[in-house]
Amino acid sequence: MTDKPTAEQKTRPKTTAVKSTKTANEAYGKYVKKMYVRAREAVVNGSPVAWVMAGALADEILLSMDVVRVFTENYAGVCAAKKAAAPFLEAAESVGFTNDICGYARTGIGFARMRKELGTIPPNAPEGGMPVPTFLVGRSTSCDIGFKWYQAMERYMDVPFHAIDVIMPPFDTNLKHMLPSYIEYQTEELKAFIAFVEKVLGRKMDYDKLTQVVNTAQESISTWHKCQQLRRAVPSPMGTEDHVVTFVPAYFMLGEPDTLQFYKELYAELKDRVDRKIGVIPNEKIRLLWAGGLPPWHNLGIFNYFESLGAVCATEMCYNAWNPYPEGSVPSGDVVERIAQSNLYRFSQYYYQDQPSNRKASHKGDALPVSWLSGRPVSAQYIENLVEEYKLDGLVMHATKSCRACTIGQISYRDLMQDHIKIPILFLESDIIDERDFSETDTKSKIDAFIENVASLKERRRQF
Amino acid sequence: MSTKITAAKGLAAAHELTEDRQKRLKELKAEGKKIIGYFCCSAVPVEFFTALGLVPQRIMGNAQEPISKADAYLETMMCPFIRSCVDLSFKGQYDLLDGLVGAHTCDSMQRIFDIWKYYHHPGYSHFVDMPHVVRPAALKFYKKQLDAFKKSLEVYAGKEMSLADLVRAIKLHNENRELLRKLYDLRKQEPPLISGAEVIEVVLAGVVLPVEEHSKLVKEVITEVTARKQPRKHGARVLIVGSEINDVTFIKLVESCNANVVMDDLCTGSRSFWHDVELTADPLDGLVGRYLEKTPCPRTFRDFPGSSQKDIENRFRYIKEFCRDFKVNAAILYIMRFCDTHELDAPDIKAYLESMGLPVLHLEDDYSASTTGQLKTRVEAFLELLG
Repeated sequence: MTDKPTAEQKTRPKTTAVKSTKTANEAYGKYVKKMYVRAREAVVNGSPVAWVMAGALADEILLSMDVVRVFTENYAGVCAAKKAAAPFLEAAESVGFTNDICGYARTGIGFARMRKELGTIPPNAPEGGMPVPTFLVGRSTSCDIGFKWYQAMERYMDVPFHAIDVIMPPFDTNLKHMLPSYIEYQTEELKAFIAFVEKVLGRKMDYDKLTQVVNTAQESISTWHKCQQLRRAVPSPMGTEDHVVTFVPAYFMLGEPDTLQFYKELYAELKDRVDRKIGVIPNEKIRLLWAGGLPPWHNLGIFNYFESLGAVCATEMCYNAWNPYPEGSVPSGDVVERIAQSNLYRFSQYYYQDQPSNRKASHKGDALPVSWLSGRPVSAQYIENLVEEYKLDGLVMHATKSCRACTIGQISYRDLMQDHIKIPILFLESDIIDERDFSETDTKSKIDAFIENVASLKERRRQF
Repeated sequence: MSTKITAAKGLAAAHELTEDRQKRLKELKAEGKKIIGYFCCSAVPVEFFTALGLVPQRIMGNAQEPISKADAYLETMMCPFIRSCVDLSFKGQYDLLDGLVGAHTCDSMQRIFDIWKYYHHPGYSHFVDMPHVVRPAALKFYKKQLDAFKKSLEVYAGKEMSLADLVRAIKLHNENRELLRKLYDLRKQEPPLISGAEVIEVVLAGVVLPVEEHSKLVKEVITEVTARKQPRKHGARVLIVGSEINDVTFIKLVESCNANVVMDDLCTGSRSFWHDVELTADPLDGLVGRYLEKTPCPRTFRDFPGSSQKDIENRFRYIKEFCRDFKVNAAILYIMRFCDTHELDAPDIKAYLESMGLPVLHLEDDYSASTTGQLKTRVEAFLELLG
């Protein structure tokens, strides 16, 4: 199987966005492609390969046990961006997986079906496809699809499969009282996963190596977070179209030294751009938050369309960097418990009132008002803080037909924002993978009207 | 069962309660009872409400009521049953509720809890975080969740839930479940003594009545039906598999096509009562066992036993047993659109049932009256093929 694009692949229209940073421009080749190349090499070498879902908390564990990871959601995004998802979607739909099921899942199931029936990787599969894994790792983070997808896909795979229950406390949980039980449970779940991998591979976890990997992972997250903070500058040095590839190392290659190096390079580039006041576009007039929903992988060029109207998505809520532990407060102790704790810390920062990200001088009372954005409860205060820090003029919501997890809550978030800050919100609709649900005309018309409205509002505020 | 409003008993009373779900609840509210709404059949232990003298009402939608208000608050590409629940809440149908309890059963349920709270500000609310797996640590975690829920409810009710009260409540609900299983036994005969439409009305009466009143109603129905002299017509013996069918329309549609719905695997049917709570020394252990371990909800992950074939057998064997015990000869998968959990299971369930030699019709529906015509055409065509 070659890495070079086939003739058919070359004729497909380009759907990825024009990026502004060198780091982002190189990221696809260096990191995304790498994931599939090394998976194929692993199979040839007899090394274990796992298909994994994002947010499984499995990255550091698998890396420490020398398991090569393929993130199947990433593969679906790649297929959509290369306009190659349709055959896989159809292969899944034609055997009863209806077209409102998660586009990532349909792509993965369809790919697996075609691979099994053909006895080989389907022709024209982007990046040479995904090799048959040694085992599957599902999870319950963020959505029901997290293990139901692989469970359904097993009819074409029949490999060992483990689902990790990754928990996120409800927003009004008394965390002071309940947190220990969450940490205990999450730690036990991770230990059960380690036991599963040990059994499949027939060897034990090296906990010294795991500690080293977890330390590297936490340093990567801190560095990535610093990159994120630089985007507060005016003009913003990087937009969401870059983010949708620069998040890849953190989400899919966490714990690797190359990931840490990647974010150091990104930081250096963004710092340079901030120092020299180089923005995404020369004349940045409007700054936006990609607030709700996953990106339209089939048409990432819409970010460039925003930019053609002078608007930059300066930050986003999807696949975003999360706040690392404050300096000096990184938990120590059992390394598996550390992974559990950091995940709970990560989620709680969107809605837990004691987190700095949720503190706002105007807030009174105990419970924060929340609704759901991009798969988790998010307090109004969290968004208010982002609007202030990033000097945002508006929010963009992307309702995706097949991703309920990241879409439900967007409409009610409009009301939440009205009650707290008056900020214009744009509602777009399409899908994550399936371009049949995308109308370029409609999308651009809505963007045009929204940008006009925001510009007019800004002008009125400036005058008064 | 008779209330102040009606002297109806048995099937007639059940029918009245599905026509007017608020009937008995309004009376209880006027007597000073607190009504606590809850979502889902498989995660919220109703025994807690009974033990504290609170009246539970399972929140449900209405497929016959077009959604008109929910669009302003909720996205369309989500579970239509939940959208209907929210739509009804904005139409005042749940104004009687004094509190709201939810659980992490699916993505839509999880999100709606917070959204409902934001708009309706219930006087009491609690969310039970339910694990997705049934490993020992999960059972331990869920027990702590139930303990926290119990304590929260005690604070609201202003009294402690004694061990005796909880055990009594468990026994009352177990008795109710056993009665419902006895009612279902009346469907094993050919032809069944009771129609599927009648059964669903009796089961659904239970979500708007205190448990003792519902048990009394079920006993009345069993007596009434057992004494029937006029048997039902012979017809195809149909199993319906799915989630939330909470009115008779679809079942009547099937039964109008020379068929009898003799069994179900529905959230609003057998799944809500098929398993009892074991009486354990610590009652919370029994509740954990019943609500998390035993109830075969597709949202719960059972460890993969090594092969796809064994996994499917593990997950769906109980449906095979239903087919055997109720002499099912055809199955209909009634799958709600935008329900990822059931939609992802549907192809495997279909293949499994077909491997048993059963003809299977896989339907997708959006929980509205507008699709009745299309569904009828497909069901008719399917059942005609059976001969």
